[in-house]
Amino acid sequence: MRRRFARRGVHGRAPVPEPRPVELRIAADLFARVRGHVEDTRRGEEAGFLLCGLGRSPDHDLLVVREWIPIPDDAITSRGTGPMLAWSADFNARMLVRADELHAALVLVHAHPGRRAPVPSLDDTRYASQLFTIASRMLPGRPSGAIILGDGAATGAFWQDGRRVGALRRVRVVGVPLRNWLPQPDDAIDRARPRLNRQTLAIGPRSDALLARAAVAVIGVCGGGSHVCQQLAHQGLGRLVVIDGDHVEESNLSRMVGATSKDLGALKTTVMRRMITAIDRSIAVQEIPKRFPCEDAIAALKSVDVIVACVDSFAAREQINLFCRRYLVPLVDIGMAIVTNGEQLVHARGQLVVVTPDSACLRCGPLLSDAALAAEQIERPRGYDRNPNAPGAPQVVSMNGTLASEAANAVLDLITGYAGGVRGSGWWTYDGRRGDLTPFASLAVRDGCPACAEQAHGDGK
Amino acid sequence: MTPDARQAIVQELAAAFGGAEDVSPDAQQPLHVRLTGLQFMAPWHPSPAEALLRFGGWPDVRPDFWIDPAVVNASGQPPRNPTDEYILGRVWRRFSFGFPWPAEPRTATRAVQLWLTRFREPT
Repeated sequence: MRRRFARRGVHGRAPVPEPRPVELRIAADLFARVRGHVEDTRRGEEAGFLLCGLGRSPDHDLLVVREWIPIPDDAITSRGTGPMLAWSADFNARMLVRADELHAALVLVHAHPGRRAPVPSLDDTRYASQLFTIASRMLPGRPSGAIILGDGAATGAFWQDGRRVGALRRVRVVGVPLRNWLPQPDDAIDRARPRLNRQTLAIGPRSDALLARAAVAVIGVCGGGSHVCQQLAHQGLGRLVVIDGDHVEESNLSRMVGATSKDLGALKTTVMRRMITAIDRSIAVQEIPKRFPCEDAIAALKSVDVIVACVDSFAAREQINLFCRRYLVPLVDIGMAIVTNGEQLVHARGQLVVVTPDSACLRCGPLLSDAALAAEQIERPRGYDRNPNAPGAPQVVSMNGTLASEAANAVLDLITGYAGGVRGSGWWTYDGRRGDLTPFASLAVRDGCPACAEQAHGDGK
Repeated sequence: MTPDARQAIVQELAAAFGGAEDVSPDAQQPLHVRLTGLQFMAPWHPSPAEALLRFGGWPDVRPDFWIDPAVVNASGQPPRNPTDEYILGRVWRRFSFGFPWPAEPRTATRAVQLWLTRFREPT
């Protein structure tokens, strides 16, 4: 591949960045469009640019894809002989301007179809180095680079502030199921830990390896979240992040799985750690005994594969939903509302929502409408904590457990794809009186949704 | 709010408070402005610090206002009734404080000045 690039002034020397691996995270439907373009070799090689938000993590950089701009025909100056492609410096300049406007990183994509493990050619390496040594100086503080897609594998190199800073760790394709494109083909090992024999028989020989290397966060670990933690531990998840700032109270003992009368006053996250490691001590558990949002939780959540929200307010849901949109993390949300007339249960209604970047988010639908958020703000003004002496909402452990089990199924499907595509993202309503879980009418991404407006923004400006 | 009106508010705030940046997620969303060097009265510190404004319903509705969670008083406490919120990719702190609005002149500068009267209280 040959390409020309716009030569612009080189800014002052920046501190030498540390080498860091890069993860590229992209929505499944957008990735399909990228592949559809760069793998179509009927006219020769094709390429394009991804514009990406940046998420900094302690051990790697995360690029979340906001826009895909294929190189158009009118910018291509030569297809050369064979696969060689060249395009105008003006087009590169336009990409730099757009990236600067979005405060985004720039990633060049092309494909080596038919290669199980793509390897950059000498031309690929030379021209990527030339382009991004300069381009990364114009987009300071964020890694920009080039990736090559093969057959289910991807490789790439990145530059920041004019210097080579790292290689592609993986492309994370966020859909149902989640998929990894690694530098080597992602051959999940067929295996079954002895304790998972029966589950592996049910959902496939690769499920054990997929689950063992997956990380899931559960926010809110009482009535719903404790069930979810227990089931994810039984399923064999490799890493669990448990987030909750509350301590165990007597009223929690009616519904918090794993808590006993000896735990009164203990942190809920500590009870979860004990329960999870009692099931399987090889599971890595990260406790964050604080409410979301806090810096610890934000840092931890950037690197998980799925977030399960089991929280009791619309405001908390709104913020978790926003986080998931910004970093392209699938969200599984459950909630339950029971109404009584003082003597008898009148209704028990809940919801299970599975949100991926391609689907409607919680703010697109009725659950987190402006009206619902405003009503809650009147009832529970922000800036005022809950009254600890106020009576809690009605709760029934078995109803919480039904919803939590379906949330655990949703996580299992996201990681293993066990449902074969018949489940996916969506909304389900639960009626605890009738005992049924019903798919809700499908929802489209809402135009003007404030959370979707921040999709793939990462850390932001 | 028109693009010109948005830009005028950012410029006005930058001139009044020593640095302002439009950080709105996109042009369809309410104007979000980050004040990059807002001065707080002692004992509130650190000063200067960052603050965030969101202009929903402007100018009939006062802007929402958040401060950097690092801002505390001499005892290390934030303003009373704080709530930490996740906005635009980071944690900002909201606090409860009432003041009449609309107030004249109905400008963004006036709204921030009224918010800052909260920090005349030492606790």
